[in-house]
Amino acid sequence: MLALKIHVPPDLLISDREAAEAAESGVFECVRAHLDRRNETAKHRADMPRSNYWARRPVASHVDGTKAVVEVGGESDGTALHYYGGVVYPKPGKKALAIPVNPAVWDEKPSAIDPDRSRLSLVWPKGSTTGTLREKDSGEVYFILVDKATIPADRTVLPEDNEITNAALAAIERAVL
Amino acid sequence: MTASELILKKALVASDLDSSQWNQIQAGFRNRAFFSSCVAKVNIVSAMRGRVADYVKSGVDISEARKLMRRDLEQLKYSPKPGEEDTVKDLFSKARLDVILKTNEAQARGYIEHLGRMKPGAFAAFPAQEFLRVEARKAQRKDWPERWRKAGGKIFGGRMIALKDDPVWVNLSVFGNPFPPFDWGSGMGVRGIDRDEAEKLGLVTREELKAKVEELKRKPAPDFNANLQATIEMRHDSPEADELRKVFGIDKDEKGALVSFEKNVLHWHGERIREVVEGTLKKVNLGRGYDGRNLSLSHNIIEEHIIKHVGDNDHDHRNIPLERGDFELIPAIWRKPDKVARQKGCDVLELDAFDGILRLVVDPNVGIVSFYKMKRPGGA
Repeated sequence: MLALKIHVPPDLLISDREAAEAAESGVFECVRAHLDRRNETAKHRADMPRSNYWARRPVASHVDGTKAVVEVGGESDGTALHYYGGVVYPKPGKKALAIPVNPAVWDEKPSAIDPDRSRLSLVWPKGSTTGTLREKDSGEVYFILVDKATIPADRTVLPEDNEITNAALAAIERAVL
Repeated sequence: MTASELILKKALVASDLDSSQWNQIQAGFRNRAFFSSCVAKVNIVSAMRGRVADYVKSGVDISEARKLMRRDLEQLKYSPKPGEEDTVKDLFSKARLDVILKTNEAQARGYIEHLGRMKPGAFAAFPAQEFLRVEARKAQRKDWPERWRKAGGKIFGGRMIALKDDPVWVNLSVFGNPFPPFDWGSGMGVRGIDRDEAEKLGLVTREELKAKVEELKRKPAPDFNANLQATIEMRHDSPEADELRKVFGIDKDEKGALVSFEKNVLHWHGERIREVVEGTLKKVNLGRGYDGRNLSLSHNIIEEHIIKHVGDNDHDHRNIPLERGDFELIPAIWRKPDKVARQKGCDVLELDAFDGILRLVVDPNVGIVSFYKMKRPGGA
Protein backbone atom coordinates (compact mmCIF):
# COMPACT_ATOMS: atom_id res chain seq x y z
CA MET A 1 0.00 0.00 0.00
CA LEU A 2 1.30 3.47 -0.83
CA ALA A 3 1.09 6.75 1.01
CA LEU A 4 -1.35 9.34 -0.32
CA LYS A 5 0.68 12.19 -1.79
CA ILE A 6 -0.64 15.73 -2.05
CA HIS A 7 1.40 17.90 -4.42
CA VAL A 8 1.08 21.57 -3.62
CA PRO A 9 0.13 23.25 -6.94
CA PRO A 10 3.48 24.41 -8.38
CA ASP A 11 2.15 27.74 -9.58
CA LEU A 12 1.56 28.66 -5.96
CA LEU A 13 5.19 28.23 -5.08
CA ILE A 14 7.62 31.08 -5.46
CA SER A 15 11.27 30.19 -5.78
CA ASP A 16 11.77 31.40 -2.22
CA ARG A 17 12.33 28.35 0.01
CA GLU A 18 10.50 29.83 2.97
CA ALA A 19 7.41 30.34 0.86
CA ALA A 20 7.58 26.68 -0.18
CA GLU A 21 7.92 25.65 3.47
CA ALA A 22 4.98 27.88 4.38
CA ALA A 23 2.81 26.29 1.68
CA GLU A 24 3.91 22.85 2.89
CA SER A 25 2.99 23.73 6.47
CA GLY A 26 -0.36 25.21 5.41
CA VAL A 27 -1.33 21.98 3.68
CA PHE A 28 0.06 19.91 6.57
CA GLU A 29 -2.05 21.77 9.15
CA CYS A 30 -5.10 21.58 6.85
CA VAL A 31 -4.73 17.81 6.49
CA ARG A 32 -4.08 17.30 10.21
CA ALA A 33 -7.16 19.31 11.18
CA HIS A 34 -9.23 17.39 8.61
CA LEU A 35 -8.08 14.04 10.03
CA ASP A 36 -8.82 15.27 13.58
CA ARG A 37 -12.43 16.14 12.61
CA ARG A 38 -12.77 12.79 10.88
CA ASN A 39 -11.50 11.06 14.01
CA GLU A 40 -13.99 12.90 16.21
CA THR A 41 -16.97 11.96 14.07
CA ALA A 42 -15.88 8.41 13.17
CA LYS A 43 -18.50 5.79 14.00
CA HIS A 44 -17.59 3.41 16.79
CA ARG A 45 -19.29 0.91 19.04
CA ALA A 46 -19.93 2.22 22.54
CA ASP A 47 -18.72 -1.02 24.12
CA MET A 48 -15.42 -1.07 22.23
CA PRO A 49 -12.39 1.16 22.89
CA ARG A 50 -11.80 4.01 20.43
CA SER A 51 -9.09 3.26 17.91
CA ASN A 52 -8.41 6.94 17.15
CA TYR A 53 -7.47 5.61 13.73
CA TRP A 54 -7.68 8.91 11.86
CA ALA A 55 -5.87 10.93 14.51
CA ARG A 56 -2.98 8.46 14.34
CA ARG A 57 -2.42 8.56 10.58
CA PRO A 58 1.19 9.62 9.96
CA VAL A 59 1.49 12.84 7.99
CA ALA A 60 4.93 13.70 6.65
CA SER A 61 5.93 16.59 4.43
CA HIS A 62 8.94 17.87 2.58
CA VAL A 63 10.12 20.54 0.19
CA ASP A 64 12.30 19.60 -2.74
CA GLY A 65 13.32 22.52 -4.89
CA THR A 66 10.10 23.77 -6.45
CA LYS A 67 7.99 20.91 -5.16
CA ALA A 68 6.28 20.55 -1.80
CA VAL A 69 4.68 17.23 -0.93
CA VAL A 70 2.55 16.17 2.00
CA GLU A 71 2.27 12.41 2.47
CA VAL A 72 -0.59 10.86 4.38
CA GLY A 73 -0.06 7.35 5.63
CA GLY A 74 2.94 5.15 4.89
CA GLU A 75 3.81 1.93 3.23
CA SER A 76 1.90 -0.32 5.58
CA ASP A 77 -0.82 2.17 6.44
CA GLY A 78 -4.45 1.74 5.36
CA THR A 79 -5.11 5.39 4.45
CA ALA A 80 -4.73 4.84 0.71
CA LEU A 81 -6.98 1.77 0.95
CA HIS A 82 -9.77 3.87 2.44
CA TYR A 83 -9.26 6.62 -0.14
CA TYR A 84 -9.22 4.42 -3.26
CA GLY A 85 -11.21 1.50 -1.91
CA GLY A 86 -10.18 -2.12 -2.28
CA VAL A 87 -10.50 -5.65 -1.03
CA VAL A 88 -8.52 -7.04 1.89
CA TYR A 89 -7.67 -10.73 1.78
CA PRO A 90 -6.10 -12.91 4.48
CA LYS A 91 -2.30 -13.13 4.51
CA PRO A 92 -0.74 -16.14 2.76
CA GLY A 93 -1.24 -19.24 4.86
CA LYS A 94 -4.28 -17.82 6.64
CA LYS A 95 -7.83 -18.83 5.71
CA ALA A 96 -9.76 -15.85 7.05
CA LEU A 97 -9.59 -12.33 8.40
CA ALA A 98 -10.32 -12.21 12.13
CA ILE A 99 -12.22 -9.12 13.24
CA PRO A 100 -12.32 -8.55 17.02
CA VAL A 101 -15.89 -7.84 18.16
CA ASN A 102 -15.46 -8.18 21.91
CA PRO A 103 -13.75 -5.58 24.17
CA ALA A 104 -11.85 -8.43 25.82
CA VAL A 105 -9.83 -8.99 22.64
CA TRP A 106 -9.57 -5.44 21.37
CA ASP A 107 -6.42 -4.96 19.26
CA GLU A 108 -5.56 -8.65 19.59
CA LYS A 109 -5.04 -11.47 17.12
CA PRO A 110 -6.31 -14.99 17.79
CA SER A 111 -2.79 -16.46 17.57
CA ALA A 112 -1.50 -13.98 20.18
CA ILE A 113 -4.15 -14.67 22.78
CA ASP A 114 -4.57 -18.37 22.03
CA PRO A 115 -1.18 -19.68 20.82
CA ASP A 116 -1.91 -23.30 21.75
CA ARG A 117 -5.55 -23.13 20.55
CA SER A 118 -6.93 -24.13 23.89
CA ARG A 119 -8.96 -21.04 24.63
CA LEU A 120 -11.03 -20.38 21.50
CA SER A 121 -13.32 -22.60 19.47
CA LEU A 122 -14.09 -22.17 15.78
CA VAL A 123 -17.67 -22.15 14.55
CA TRP A 124 -18.09 -21.96 10.77
CA PRO A 125 -21.45 -23.14 9.40
CA LYS A 126 -21.18 -25.08 6.16
CA GLY A 127 -21.77 -22.91 3.12
CA SER A 128 -21.47 -19.69 5.11
CA THR A 129 -19.04 -16.92 4.18
CA THR A 130 -18.52 -16.01 7.83
CA GLY A 131 -17.50 -17.86 10.95
CA THR A 132 -16.78 -17.01 14.57
CA LEU A 133 -14.15 -17.70 17.18
CA ARG A 134 -15.71 -18.09 20.60
CA GLU A 135 -14.29 -18.27 24.09
CA LYS A 136 -14.65 -21.89 25.06
CA ASP A 137 -15.73 -21.35 28.67
CA SER A 138 -18.27 -18.58 28.18
CA GLY A 139 -19.26 -19.12 24.54
CA GLU A 140 -18.86 -15.38 23.93
CA VAL A 141 -18.04 -14.41 20.37
CA TYR A 142 -14.57 -12.91 20.30
CA PHE A 143 -13.82 -12.71 16.58
CA ILE A 144 -15.85 -12.72 13.41
CA LEU A 145 -14.12 -14.54 10.57
CA VAL A 146 -14.57 -13.47 6.96
CA ASP A 147 -12.84 -14.62 3.78
CA LYS A 148 -12.35 -11.03 2.63
CA ALA A 149 -13.35 -7.45 3.46
CA THR A 150 -14.39 -4.89 0.85
CA ILE A 151 -13.54 -1.27 1.65
CA PRO A 152 -15.49 1.27 -0.45
CA ALA A 153 -13.64 4.26 -1.94
CA ASP A 154 -14.00 7.37 0.20
CA ARG A 155 -12.58 10.60 -1.20
CA THR A 156 -13.48 12.46 1.98
CA VAL A 157 -10.40 10.90 3.58
CA LEU A 158 -8.55 13.98 2.38
CA PRO A 159 -9.70 17.62 2.31
CA GLU A 160 -11.13 18.89 -0.97
CA ASP A 161 -8.72 20.27 -3.53
CA ASN A 162 -9.86 23.88 -3.13
CA GLU A 163 -9.46 23.61 0.65
CA ILE A 164 -5.88 22.43 0.18
CA THR A 165 -5.11 25.19 -2.33
CA ASN A 166 -6.60 27.86 -0.06
CA ALA A 167 -4.60 26.56 2.91
CA ALA A 168 -1.36 26.75 0.93
CA LEU A 169 -2.13 30.27 -0.39
CA ALA A 170 -3.07 31.58 3.03
CA ALA A 171 0.11 30.18 4.58
CA ILE A 172 2.31 31.77 1.89
CA GLU A 173 0.65 35.14 2.50
CA ARG A 174 1.25 34.86 6.23
CA ALA A 175 4.86 33.87 5.79
CA VAL A 176 5.62 37.12 3.99
CA LEU A 177 6.90 39.19 6.89
CA MET B 1 19.62 -0.86 11.76
CA THR B 2 16.80 -1.39 14.25
CA ALA B 3 13.21 -1.75 13.13
CA SER B 4 12.27 1.64 14.57
CA GLU B 5 15.11 3.18 12.59
CA LEU B 6 13.85 1.50 9.44
CA ILE B 7 10.43 3.04 9.86
CA LEU B 8 12.05 6.32 10.85
CA LYS B 9 14.18 6.21 7.72
CA LYS B 10 11.07 5.89 5.58
CA ALA B 11 9.61 8.93 7.31
CA LEU B 12 12.85 10.87 6.97
CA VAL B 13 13.11 10.07 3.27
CA ALA B 14 9.83 11.93 2.90
CA SER B 15 11.38 14.94 4.64
CA ASP B 16 14.11 17.22 3.42
CA LEU B 17 16.70 16.53 6.07
CA ASP B 18 20.22 15.86 4.87
CA SER B 19 22.04 12.63 5.65
CA SER B 20 24.02 14.19 8.49
CA GLN B 21 20.80 15.18 10.23
CA TRP B 22 19.38 11.70 9.59
CA ASN B 23 22.32 10.14 11.38
CA GLN B 24 22.02 12.59 14.25
CA ILE B 25 18.45 11.44 14.68
CA GLN B 26 19.49 7.80 14.55
CA ALA B 27 22.12 8.54 17.20
CA GLY B 28 19.49 10.27 19.27
CA PHE B 29 17.18 7.28 19.18
CA ARG B 30 19.94 4.79 19.98
CA ASN B 31 21.30 6.89 22.81
CA ARG B 32 17.85 7.40 24.24
CA ALA B 33 17.01 3.72 23.94
CA PHE B 34 20.28 2.69 25.55
CA PHE B 35 19.95 5.27 28.31
CA SER B 36 16.43 4.10 29.13
CA SER B 37 17.44 0.49 28.94
CA CYS B 38 20.29 0.87 31.41
CA VAL B 39 18.11 2.73 33.84
CA ALA B 40 15.33 0.23 33.49
CA LYS B 41 17.64 -2.76 33.70
CA VAL B 42 17.36 -2.01 37.36
CA ASN B 43 13.63 -1.59 36.96
CA ILE B 44 13.17 -4.18 34.15
CA VAL B 45 10.91 -2.05 31.96
CA SER B 46 13.32 -1.17 29.16
CA ALA B 47 14.48 -4.75 28.62
CA MET B 48 11.55 -4.63 26.23
CA ARG B 49 13.24 -2.06 23.97
CA GLY B 50 13.73 -4.49 21.12
CA ARG B 51 10.08 -5.45 21.11
CA VAL B 52 9.07 -1.80 21.03
CA ALA B 53 11.23 -1.44 17.94
CA ASP B 54 9.61 -4.52 16.43
CA TYR B 55 6.20 -2.97 16.91
CA VAL B 56 7.13 0.28 15.18
CA LYS B 57 8.42 -1.81 12.26
CA SER B 58 5.83 -2.47 9.59
CA GLY B 59 4.53 -6.01 9.61
CA VAL B 60 4.59 -6.66 13.36
CA ASP B 61 1.24 -5.68 14.79
CA ILE B 62 0.60 -4.65 18.35
CA SER B 63 -0.87 -8.00 19.30
CA GLU B 64 2.31 -9.83 18.27
CA ALA B 65 4.53 -7.23 19.96
CA ARG B 66 2.66 -7.74 23.25
CA LYS B 67 3.08 -11.50 22.99
CA LEU B 68 6.83 -11.18 22.44
CA MET B 69 7.25 -8.68 25.27
CA ARG B 70 5.43 -10.95 27.69
CA ARG B 71 7.73 -13.78 26.66
CA ASP B 72 10.77 -11.57 27.31
CA LEU B 73 9.46 -10.64 30.74
CA GLU B 74 8.98 -14.30 31.63
CA GLN B 75 12.54 -15.03 30.59
CA LEU B 76 13.73 -12.16 32.76
CA LYS B 77 11.81 -13.77 35.62
CA TYR B 78 9.74 -10.63 36.07
CA SER B 79 6.71 -10.87 38.32
CA PRO B 80 4.41 -8.03 39.39
CA LYS B 81 4.33 -6.94 43.00
CA PRO B 82 1.56 -8.55 45.06
CA GLY B 83 -1.63 -6.60 44.64
CA GLU B 84 -0.50 -5.00 41.36
CA GLU B 85 -1.39 -7.94 39.09
CA ASP B 86 -3.43 -6.89 36.04
CA THR B 87 -3.10 -3.22 36.93
CA VAL B 88 -1.20 -0.72 34.78
CA LYS B 89 1.77 -1.26 37.13
CA ASP B 90 1.89 -4.87 36.03
CA LEU B 91 4.25 -5.03 33.02
CA PHE B 92 2.41 -8.11 31.76
CA SER B 93 -0.84 -6.18 31.52
CA LYS B 94 -2.18 -5.11 28.14
CA ALA B 95 -2.68 -1.58 29.46
CA ARG B 96 0.98 -1.19 30.45
CA LEU B 97 2.41 -2.78 27.33
CA ASP B 98 0.17 -0.68 25.08
CA VAL B 99 1.25 2.51 26.80
CA ILE B 100 4.90 1.66 26.20
CA LEU B 101 4.43 0.56 22.58
CA LYS B 102 2.14 3.38 21.52
CA THR B 103 4.12 6.06 23.30
CA ASN B 104 7.32 5.09 21.52
CA GLU B 105 5.57 5.14 18.17
CA ALA B 106 3.97 8.50 18.98
CA GLN B 107 7.36 9.95 20.00
CA ALA B 108 8.92 9.03 16.67
CA ARG B 109 5.99 10.56 14.83
CA GLY B 110 5.91 13.62 17.09
CA TYR B 111 9.58 14.32 16.52
CA ILE B 112 9.33 14.15 12.73
CA GLU B 113 6.33 16.49 12.73
CA HIS B 114 8.14 18.83 15.10
CA LEU B 115 11.05 19.13 12.71
CA GLY B 116 8.62 20.07 9.94
CA ARG B 117 6.85 22.63 12.12
CA MET B 118 10.15 24.31 13.04
CA LYS B 119 11.27 24.98 9.48
CA PRO B 120 11.71 28.74 8.96
CA GLY B 121 8.87 29.08 6.44
CA ALA B 122 6.54 26.92 8.53
CA PHE B 123 7.39 28.96 11.62
CA ALA B 124 6.74 32.23 9.79
CA ALA B 125 3.27 31.07 8.70
CA PHE B 126 2.41 29.24 11.95
CA PRO B 127 4.58 30.64 14.77
CA ALA B 128 2.44 29.20 17.57
CA GLN B 129 0.55 26.03 18.34
CA GLU B 130 -2.39 25.04 20.47
CA PHE B 131 -2.20 22.22 23.01
CA LEU B 132 -5.43 20.23 22.74
CA ARG B 133 -6.99 16.79 22.78
CA VAL B 134 -6.49 14.97 19.49
CA GLU B 135 -7.41 11.43 20.56
CA ALA B 136 -10.48 10.32 22.46
CA ARG B 137 -10.00 8.71 25.83
CA LYS B 138 -12.56 7.05 28.11
CA ALA B 139 -10.94 8.63 31.16
CA GLN B 140 -9.46 12.01 30.37
CA ARG B 141 -6.99 13.81 32.61
CA LYS B 142 -8.60 17.00 33.88
CA ASP B 143 -5.47 18.66 35.19
CA TRP B 144 -3.93 19.75 31.90
CA PRO B 145 -4.80 23.45 32.32
CA GLU B 146 -3.17 23.43 35.77
CA ARG B 147 -0.09 21.63 34.43
CA TRP B 148 0.02 24.09 31.53
CA ARG B 149 0.06 27.07 33.89
CA LYS B 150 2.70 25.45 36.10
CA ALA B 151 4.84 24.92 33.01
CA GLY B 152 4.67 28.64 32.34
CA GLY B 153 1.89 28.66 29.77
CA LYS B 154 -0.92 31.18 29.30
CA ILE B 155 -4.55 30.35 28.62
CA PHE B 156 -6.53 32.35 26.04
CA GLY B 157 -10.28 31.95 26.41
CA GLY B 158 -9.86 28.38 27.60
CA ARG B 159 -7.29 27.57 24.93
CA MET B 160 -3.71 26.61 25.75
CA ILE B 161 -1.57 28.34 23.13
CA ALA B 162 2.11 29.25 23.01
CA LEU B 163 4.81 30.01 20.49
CA LYS B 164 6.44 26.89 19.12
CA ASP B 165 9.79 27.76 20.70
CA ASP B 166 8.34 28.60 24.10
CA PRO B 167 9.94 26.59 26.95
CA VAL B 168 6.43 25.63 28.13
CA TRP B 169 6.49 22.63 25.76
CA VAL B 170 9.58 21.11 27.35
CA ASN B 171 8.39 22.00 30.85
CA LEU B 172 5.01 20.40 30.18
CA SER B 173 6.44 17.13 28.92
CA VAL B 174 7.24 14.29 31.32
CA PHE B 175 9.73 13.13 28.68
CA GLY B 176 11.42 16.52 28.42
CA ASN B 177 10.51 16.84 24.72
CA PRO B 178 9.11 19.94 22.99
CA PHE B 179 6.76 17.72 20.96
CA PRO B 180 3.94 15.27 21.68
CA PRO B 181 3.25 13.01 23.39
CA PHE B 182 3.61 15.00 26.57
CA ASP B 183 2.68 12.21 28.91
CA TRP B 184 2.10 8.46 28.77
CA GLY B 185 -1.04 7.72 26.73
CA SER B 186 -2.36 11.25 27.16
CA GLY B 187 -4.11 11.69 23.77
CA MET B 188 -3.07 15.35 23.75
CA GLY B 189 -1.33 16.91 20.77
CA VAL B 190 -0.61 20.19 19.05
CA ARG B 191 -2.09 22.03 16.08
CA GLY B 192 -0.67 25.10 14.33
CA ILE B 193 -1.84 28.64 15.09
CA ASP B 194 -1.27 31.03 12.19
CA ARG B 195 0.60 34.29 12.32
CA ASP B 196 -2.50 36.48 12.27
CA GLU B 197 -3.95 34.81 15.31
CA ALA B 198 -0.59 34.69 17.13
CA GLU B 199 -0.19 38.44 16.64
CA LYS B 200 -3.78 39.12 17.74
CA LEU B 201 -3.17 37.15 20.95
CA GLY B 202 -0.07 39.23 21.62
CA LEU B 203 2.26 36.24 21.49
CA VAL B 204 4.60 37.78 18.96
CA THR B 205 5.13 40.97 16.95
CA ARG B 206 6.12 41.08 13.29
CA GLU B 207 9.66 42.18 14.18
CA GLU B 208 10.10 39.46 16.82
CA LEU B 209 8.87 36.86 14.35
CA LYS B 210 11.33 38.04 11.69
CA ALA B 211 14.19 37.66 14.20
CA LYS B 212 13.05 34.18 15.20
CA VAL B 213 12.80 33.04 11.58
CA GLU B 214 16.32 34.35 10.91
CA GLU B 215 17.61 32.40 13.92
CA LEU B 216 15.92 29.21 12.71
CA LYS B 217 17.71 29.53 9.39
CA ARG B 218 21.02 29.48 11.28
CA LYS B 219 20.29 26.79 13.91
CA PRO B 220 20.85 23.05 13.33
CA ALA B 221 18.06 20.51 13.94
CA PRO B 222 17.06 20.35 17.61
CA ASP B 223 18.79 17.68 19.65
CA PHE B 224 16.33 14.88 20.31
CA ASN B 225 17.99 14.14 23.65
CA ALA B 226 18.79 17.63 24.84
CA ASN B 227 16.90 17.09 28.08
CA LEU B 228 17.36 13.35 28.44
CA GLN B 229 17.59 12.39 32.04
CA ALA B 230 16.06 9.92 34.42
CA THR B 231 15.25 9.88 38.06
CA ILE B 232 16.67 6.75 39.55
CA GLU B 233 15.31 5.50 42.77
CA MET B 234 18.44 4.12 44.26
CA ARG B 235 21.05 5.13 46.75
CA HIS B 236 24.41 6.35 45.55
CA ASP B 237 26.12 3.54 47.43
CA SER B 238 23.81 0.75 46.27
CA PRO B 239 24.99 -2.15 44.06
CA GLU B 240 22.57 -0.98 41.35
CA ALA B 241 24.14 2.49 41.33
CA ASP B 242 27.59 0.89 41.04
CA GLU B 243 26.37 -1.18 38.11
CA LEU B 244 25.03 1.92 36.35
CA ARG B 245 28.35 3.70 36.88
CA LYS B 246 30.25 0.79 35.34
CA VAL B 247 27.94 0.56 32.34
CA PHE B 248 28.22 4.24 31.58
CA GLY B 249 31.92 4.39 32.44
CA ILE B 250 31.52 6.91 35.23
CA ASP B 251 33.10 4.85 37.93
CA LYS B 252 36.41 6.55 37.33
CA ASP B 253 35.83 10.00 35.93
CA GLU B 254 32.34 11.44 35.86
CA LYS B 255 33.48 14.68 34.21
CA GLY B 256 34.73 12.78 31.18
CA ALA B 257 31.71 10.53 30.73
CA LEU B 258 28.55 10.73 28.68
CA VAL B 259 26.46 10.47 31.81
CA SER B 260 26.52 12.22 35.17
CA PHE B 261 24.82 11.00 38.28
CA GLU B 262 23.68 13.80 40.60
CA LYS B 263 21.67 12.97 43.70
CA ASN B 264 19.24 10.49 42.20
CA VAL B 265 19.09 11.94 38.71
CA LEU B 266 21.02 10.48 35.82
CA HIS B 267 21.76 13.03 33.09
CA TRP B 268 22.74 12.27 29.49
CA HIS B 269 25.48 14.49 28.05
CA GLY B 270 25.35 13.66 24.36
CA GLU B 271 26.80 17.08 23.54
CA ARG B 272 30.21 15.86 24.85
CA ILE B 273 30.76 13.85 21.68
CA ARG B 274 30.30 16.97 19.62
CA GLU B 275 32.62 18.87 21.94
CA VAL B 276 35.37 16.28 21.52
CA VAL B 277 34.98 16.40 17.74
CA GLU B 278 35.22 20.20 17.79
CA GLY B 279 38.11 20.17 20.27
CA THR B 280 36.47 22.06 23.13
CA LEU B 281 36.67 18.86 25.19
CA LYS B 282 39.81 16.70 25.16
CA LYS B 283 38.30 13.31 25.81
CA VAL B 284 35.06 11.53 26.63
CA ASN B 285 34.58 8.09 28.11
CA LEU B 286 32.16 6.11 25.97
CA GLY B 287 31.52 3.60 28.74
CA ARG B 288 31.28 -0.14 28.52
CA GLY B 289 31.07 -1.53 25.00
CA TYR B 290 29.78 -4.66 23.33
CA ASP B 291 32.57 -6.76 24.83
CA GLY B 292 32.47 -5.24 28.30
CA ARG B 293 35.56 -3.06 27.86
CA ASN B 294 35.61 0.70 28.39
CA LEU B 295 36.66 2.99 25.55
CA SER B 296 37.55 6.65 25.27
CA LEU B 297 37.22 9.02 22.36
CA SER B 298 39.81 11.78 22.33
CA HIS B 299 40.18 14.84 20.15
CA ASN B 300 43.74 13.71 19.27
CA ILE B 301 42.39 10.47 17.78
CA ILE B 302 39.88 12.44 15.76
CA GLU B 303 42.56 14.73 14.43
CA GLU B 304 45.02 11.97 13.64
CA HIS B 305 42.83 9.28 12.14
CA ILE B 306 39.31 10.34 11.54
CA ILE B 307 39.58 13.78 9.98
CA LYS B 308 40.94 12.23 6.78
CA HIS B 309 37.48 10.81 6.10
CA VAL B 310 35.62 14.09 6.44
CA GLY B 311 34.39 15.94 3.33
CA ASP B 312 36.84 16.21 0.44
CA ASN B 313 39.62 14.59 2.47
CA ASP B 314 38.27 11.12 1.76
CA HIS B 315 39.57 9.92 -1.62
CA ASP B 316 38.50 6.31 -1.31
CA HIS B 317 35.74 5.73 -3.91
CA ARG B 318 34.20 3.04 -1.69
CA ASN B 319 33.56 5.56 1.07
CA ILE B 320 31.05 8.28 1.71
CA PRO B 321 32.53 11.43 3.30
CA LEU B 322 31.85 11.69 7.01
CA GLU B 323 29.56 14.40 8.30
CA ARG B 324 28.85 15.94 11.68
CA GLY B 325 25.95 13.67 12.57
CA ASP B 326 28.04 10.54 11.95
CA PHE B 327 30.30 11.13 14.96
CA GLU B 328 27.31 11.08 17.26
CA LEU B 329 26.77 7.43 16.36
CA ILE B 330 30.17 6.38 17.77
CA PRO B 331 28.82 5.49 21.26
CA ALA B 332 26.03 3.43 19.68
CA ILE B 333 28.51 1.54 17.48
CA TRP B 334 30.73 0.86 20.48
CA ARG B 335 27.88 -0.39 22.66
CA LYS B 336 25.94 -2.44 20.14
CA PRO B 337 27.48 -2.82 16.71
CA ASP B 338 25.44 -4.52 13.99
CA LYS B 339 28.50 -6.58 13.04
CA VAL B 340 31.95 -7.29 14.50
CA ALA B 341 34.94 -8.65 12.59
CA ARG B 342 38.67 -9.04 13.32
CA GLN B 343 41.20 -7.58 10.94
CA LYS B 344 44.95 -7.30 11.58
CA GLY B 345 44.53 -7.54 15.32
CA CYS B 346 41.81 -4.90 15.47
CA ASP B 347 38.07 -5.14 16.02
CA VAL B 348 36.08 -3.71 13.12
CA LEU B 349 32.64 -2.67 14.32
CA GLU B 350 29.92 -1.83 11.82
CA LEU B 351 26.63 -0.03 12.14
CA ASP B 352 24.04 0.38 9.42
CA ALA B 353 23.35 4.13 9.31
CA PHE B 354 20.70 5.75 7.17
CA ASP B 355 23.00 6.54 4.29
CA GLY B 356 25.81 4.00 4.51
CA ILE B 357 27.73 1.65 6.78
CA LEU B 358 29.74 3.24 9.56
CA ARG B 359 32.92 1.46 10.60
CA LEU B 360 34.74 1.94 13.88
CA VAL B 361 38.16 0.26 14.04
CA VAL B 362 39.42 -0.39 17.57
CA ASP B 363 42.85 -1.67 18.56
CA PRO B 364 42.50 -3.40 21.96
CA ASN B 365 45.81 -1.92 23.08
CA VAL B 366 45.53 1.57 21.67
CA GLY B 367 41.82 2.35 21.34
CA ILE B 368 40.07 3.87 18.32
CA VAL B 369 42.30 3.90 15.25
CA SER B 370 39.82 4.73 12.51
CA PHE B 371 36.25 5.76 11.81
CA TYR B 372 34.75 6.03 8.33
CA LYS B 373 31.58 5.45 6.32
CA MET B 374 31.28 3.00 3.45
CA LYS B 375 28.81 2.76 0.63
CA ARG B 376 26.52 -0.20 0.86
CA PRO B 377 27.47 -3.14 -1.38
CA GLY B 378 25.37 -3.12 -4.55
CA GLY B 379 24.52 0.53 -3.95
CA ALA B 380 21.61 -0.33 -1.61
